[in-house]
Amino acid sequence: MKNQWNRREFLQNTSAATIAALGMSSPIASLMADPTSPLAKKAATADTVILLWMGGGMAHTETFDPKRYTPYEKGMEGNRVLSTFKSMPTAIDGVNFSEGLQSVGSVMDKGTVIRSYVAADLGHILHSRHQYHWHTSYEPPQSVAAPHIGAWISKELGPKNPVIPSFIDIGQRFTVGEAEELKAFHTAGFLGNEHGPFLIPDPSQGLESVRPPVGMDMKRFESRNQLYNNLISQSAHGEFGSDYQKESLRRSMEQAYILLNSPESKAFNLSTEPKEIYNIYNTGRFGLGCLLARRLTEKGARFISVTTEYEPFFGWDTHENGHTRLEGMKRMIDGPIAQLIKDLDKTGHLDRTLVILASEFSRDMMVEGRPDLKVQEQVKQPEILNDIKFYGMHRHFTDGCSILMWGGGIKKGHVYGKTADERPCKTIINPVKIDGIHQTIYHALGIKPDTQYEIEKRPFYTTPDGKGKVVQDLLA
Amino acid sequence: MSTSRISQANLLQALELTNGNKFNLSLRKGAEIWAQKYQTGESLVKALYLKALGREPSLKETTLAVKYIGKKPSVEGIQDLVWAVTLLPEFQLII
Repeated sequence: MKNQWNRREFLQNTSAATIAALGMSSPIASLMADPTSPLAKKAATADTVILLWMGGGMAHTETFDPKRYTPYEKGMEGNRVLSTFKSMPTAIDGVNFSEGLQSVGSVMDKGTVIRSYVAADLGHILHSRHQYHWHTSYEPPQSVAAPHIGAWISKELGPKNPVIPSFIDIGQRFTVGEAEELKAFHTAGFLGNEHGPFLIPDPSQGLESVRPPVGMDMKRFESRNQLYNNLISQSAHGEFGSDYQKESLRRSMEQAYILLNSPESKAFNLSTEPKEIYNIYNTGRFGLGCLLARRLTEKGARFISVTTEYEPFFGWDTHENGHTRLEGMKRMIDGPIAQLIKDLDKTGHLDRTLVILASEFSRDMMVEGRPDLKVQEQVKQPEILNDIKFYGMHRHFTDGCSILMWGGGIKKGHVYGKTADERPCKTIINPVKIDGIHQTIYHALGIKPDTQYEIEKRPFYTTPDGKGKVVQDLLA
Repeated sequence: MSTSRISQANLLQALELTNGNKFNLSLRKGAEIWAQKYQTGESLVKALYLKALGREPSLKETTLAVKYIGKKPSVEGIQDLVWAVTLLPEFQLII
């Protein structure tokens, strides 16, 4: 594993990410809208969201929506292959997952599998554009910097525990390819910096961010802070500079001080986790990210994203060797995700925590784009497979993707939607799009569907034009 | 595309300024040099305010700072004082 980042680098990246047009937002205070309106919110069923992001395009037929299995044979026709793995039973009767995901399958009695997510047609398929779309529900490019869903949630609900940043993003480095495109949606956009992501590229290094400087004991750390506050109150800066600027630095410094001093910061210390549990999570940065997410949820986190990380041609972005690569991806996610659900369930947190697993689109061996609207082929894929490296789902498929959800008011042991059992394995029942997914998440959190702010003299809603519809059938 | 810059420090930036290794090492190095250079607390505080803020410290500021670093300034004391002064909103311009 490359280890090429450090905190200073991602710090620089955060500021760059959030530079994207802070703009002049003047809140219309959606919370103050007419409470008697039929759109008025109902009671929330979730307080916390954990998004498990499968960056790079996770093939549905190789994961949570397996089809007929065809083992590899030299000289086989690619068109015969729908799944390169066997199907294995899950905790839901009659519902199978792909081999290698049995642990996740075993906790599906606590959640819902959506098999009919349809990604948008954004022209030429690009991971960064589809990821932007998934995370903001707006199609890029936008003239206004669209906020990440985590930023909306931070803005509307604030932190659950004031010490813990309300929007935490674990696992994505910005030193990889397409970094600028990634930064474009890892931002609060016009909602402002304070709702932007608290970035933790490496969960095992998170603790470094939240403890006093190396070599400084608590006593000295506190007296240094005292000196700082005393000097501020004596400083003659009052005549110059805006209050906003002075206040914003001081507020952030205070927040940092509170976090560094808080018992909650111990959540970042993964070494205090019992060894046998730690080992289940420790499949690398993603697995430990799930562990950190669980520990922060227990202390009162609001929104956490944990990603397998998007990096062009790595992770789920399989342009060749799809079958072999997915064996590794499954080992990375299966144990930690199942353990996360079990742990949250055991402590009762799952009832109020909505856990979502998703990816920007799916993959297929033959179809690029969608069956009725193919796009230019981006991956060379022979009709006849003479090399195992072509055995896998390498093209970008948008017409049928899987999403998993657990907890926070979502149905248990439920399947929503269906894809065809023969190629093209596209959505045939209950298609759902990103604005519906977002609106369902907002609904669970008690955020009204018409939530909006005025920016550049136009309203900007949580979902485009405020038109996202809650998918009622997902709710318990 | 970005048409404006943020003038507000975020929590990660504040954390980096509070406990970041690079910043603290630089402060330490500088403090060691200044401990040699300035024999009295008062002369050091005056020099620091002139260099950092372009003005002399007030009487109250001098009293507070000298109390912290000592009549004969300690390395740790100088390190902490320079940290505090460079984080004064008066010193900072966030761009």
